Amino acid sequence: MKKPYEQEIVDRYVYDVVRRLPQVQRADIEKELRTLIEDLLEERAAGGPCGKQVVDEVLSGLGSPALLATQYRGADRHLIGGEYYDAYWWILKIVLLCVGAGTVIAAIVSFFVGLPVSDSFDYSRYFTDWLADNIQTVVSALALAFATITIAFAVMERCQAKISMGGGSWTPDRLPQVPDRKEIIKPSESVISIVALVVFMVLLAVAPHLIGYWKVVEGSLQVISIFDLEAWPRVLPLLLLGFALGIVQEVVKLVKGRYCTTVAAVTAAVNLVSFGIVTVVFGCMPVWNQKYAQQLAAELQKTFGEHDLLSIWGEGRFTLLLLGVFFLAYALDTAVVFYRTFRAQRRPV
Amino acid sequence: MGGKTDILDSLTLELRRGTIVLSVLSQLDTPKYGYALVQSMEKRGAGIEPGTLYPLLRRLEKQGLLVSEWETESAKPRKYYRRTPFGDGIYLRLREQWEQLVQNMEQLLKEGVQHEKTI
Repeated sequence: MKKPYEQEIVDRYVYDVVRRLPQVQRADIEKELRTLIEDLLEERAAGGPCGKQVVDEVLSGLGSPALLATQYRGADRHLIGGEYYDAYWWILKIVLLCVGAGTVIAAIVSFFVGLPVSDSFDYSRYFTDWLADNIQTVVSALALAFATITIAFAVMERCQAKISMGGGSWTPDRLPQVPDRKEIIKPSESVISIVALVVFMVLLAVAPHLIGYWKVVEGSLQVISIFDLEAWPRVLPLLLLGFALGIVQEVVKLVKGRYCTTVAAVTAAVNLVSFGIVTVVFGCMPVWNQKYAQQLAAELQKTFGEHDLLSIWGEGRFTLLLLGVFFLAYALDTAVVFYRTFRAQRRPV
Repeated sequence: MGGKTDILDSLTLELRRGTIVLSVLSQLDTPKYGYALVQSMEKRGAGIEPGTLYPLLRRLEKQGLLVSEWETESAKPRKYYRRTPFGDGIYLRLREQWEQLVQNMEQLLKEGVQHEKTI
């Protein structure tokens, strides 16, 4: 009865519905759907020929395969639901804006830093190379930022869903207290932290060679970087992971909006892991440009005295000093959050 | 006023949506396949899209209100659905709820009419 087009378009329709469904249901729904379409075709054709127009009308009547598959799946499926959606969207916008602006600015700066002044220089080649490198950098930085934020929220969504489903029925005594002014975590604090973290991430990822001592030699800019750029590809992922954890922590603070056990636990965990990362990076990896102090001394034509930080540059004492500072910072941050959480929970009702 | 008909359409749809399960259950004391159900409901002025009905039948089966059986002897394989004893019980309770609802609504709407006259 059916001609090739009609047969083919029905096959395509059924396939497009079924591929969106769980494996176990596919065969059954496919059989059911095919019979339904045949019934509809017979009725519509009313004994007459069953041409292209009839088939198209029937399939249009059934609606888009995506919609039909959604109805078959039933349950509302989402990655980030209503409760977190506003916060997610807001943070995503801020972070993408920072990353976008940061990487573009860094790209523009690196254009001028690498630019030699010479008549015989192939400027069009330099420009196309620069463009290719930097478009890739900007796009992958944006993708990484998007992925980090989305994963953080998706994890929170899953945890929240588990908590609200596993905890039985809701009763009014589960309502959190209206927070005291001192318990509230200001959104602006978290946002400023996120912006700062993102700016640092961008700087470290895109322009480590620009962090250091700048000098102008014969009209072109040169930089002595404080980092060991050869080891940088190994160091960078760990540092970015640390910063990403910091962003996760700020996102949790922003969403919770108050000092509570979740915020305290996340802060403690993030700070612990971050300190671990810092210890590995600065303790075991060649982060620093070992010749920085030497090069700088030659550049400035002076030697660094005993009280100068640069006199111990790259030595074990330097690393210990650095780790000590990090330890104090993380410990202080954790202690402050725990103190505030503790105080919030002891508040008389 | 395109907006007014749009709003009315969506509200009508919402009003009817609540009655779909009850009307489907009412038809399935004897085994029927999906498309036969589409046609019989259409005839009774309670038309339902196949795209809505087929998934609904599966959902009701999963909830234990219906059972299904494939009939594969004819050229077209058909899946027949009918109410389970559990489905019978639910159907009767739902019907009571419906009758109560109709009564209450009639009362409410009657009062509405009287109120309209006084304005």
